[in-house]
Amino acid sequence: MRSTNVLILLLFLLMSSICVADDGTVKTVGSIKAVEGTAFIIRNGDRLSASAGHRLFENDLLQTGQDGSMGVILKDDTVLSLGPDSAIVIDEFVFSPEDGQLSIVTKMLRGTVSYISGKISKLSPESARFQTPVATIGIRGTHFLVKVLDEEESQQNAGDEPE
Amino acid sequence: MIKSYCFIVCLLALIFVPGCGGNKNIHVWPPESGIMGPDENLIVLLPDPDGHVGQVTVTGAGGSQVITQAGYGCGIYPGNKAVTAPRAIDEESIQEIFGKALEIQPELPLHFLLYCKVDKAELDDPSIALIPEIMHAIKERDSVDIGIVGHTDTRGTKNYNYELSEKRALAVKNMLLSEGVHPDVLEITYRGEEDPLIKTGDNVYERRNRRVEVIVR
Repeated sequence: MRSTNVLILLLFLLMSSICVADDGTVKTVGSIKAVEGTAFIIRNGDRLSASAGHRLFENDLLQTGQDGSMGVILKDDTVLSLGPDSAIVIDEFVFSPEDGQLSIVTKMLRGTVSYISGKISKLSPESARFQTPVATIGIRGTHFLVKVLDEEESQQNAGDEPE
Repeated sequence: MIKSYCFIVCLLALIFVPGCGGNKNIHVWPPESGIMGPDENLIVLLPDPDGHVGQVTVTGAGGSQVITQAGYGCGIYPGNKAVTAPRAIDEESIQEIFGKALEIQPELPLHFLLYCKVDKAELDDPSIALIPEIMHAIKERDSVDIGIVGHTDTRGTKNYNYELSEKRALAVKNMLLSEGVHPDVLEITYRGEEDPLIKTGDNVYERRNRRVEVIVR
């Protein structure tokens, strides 16, 4: 029994690694439509200055400064916009309705966000998730706003010396 | 017997105490000593751009709440991560907190449907007449992300239709290229007869399924 479990686990791991390899090819998940003030894309540790027309990829971290805001459209028609001092990661984005592969997971770290759900949440509500440090939001075809306090950072900042 | 009674009570408590569900009843705010202020995490439901109101389920460490009414929101306390029952959030607070994010919110993508002649990649005349409208949308939005999706009706074999839907998508791609659209901004996909607009049996001619969808984001 135990060895069967291990086998299943191994198979699962193998399959998931194959999936990663498949999706590992650079596939755009959407683009930036508008930017105001300071805004960045953090990609593989590099900080790129964000501007309208920039393409977005899975795992991109979108970040705005104190004077910044940014609007984004993803491939499934999800519309995301960030207010000042905000950060959100497009953690997972798979939009292949032809073979039934759908998934959108966004992780908001702080700030304010407006989210209009797209096709993925229409076709498969359970495949659309919005995570914050304090709560997970399940989405059923809708528009919502989220404000997340930056607890950790404010605590860290309190202990740090100003530059 | 007593044990099972306890179990049922506990179960009921679990179900009802977190206050999940309809939320049509009026909730008292503030629920504890908290006041709505800058130290609160907040989730607010709004109507979709088309007026439809969906719903969101907010699940924190202290349980789950469902928001079903537009203009209602749940707070989440930073400390214990308890999710408060939904309450009406006034327009002024929404603007104050979310104004900047709402201001820069992009318009929804535009979808165009172009129809093709039977068994051909060629568009019919009314659809050709839509090309200037598509070009206008692309320019107006400075779009750098345009999807072109080819489809067929169920007439013919699946494989044949995959190829035909690809040809249709490429035909529209070429039309947009000749109008000056940059090739890098176009993304071509094709789905053969797998994704009909109108569901039919096999081997059925249907104009509305012989189509190419253009999405201007």
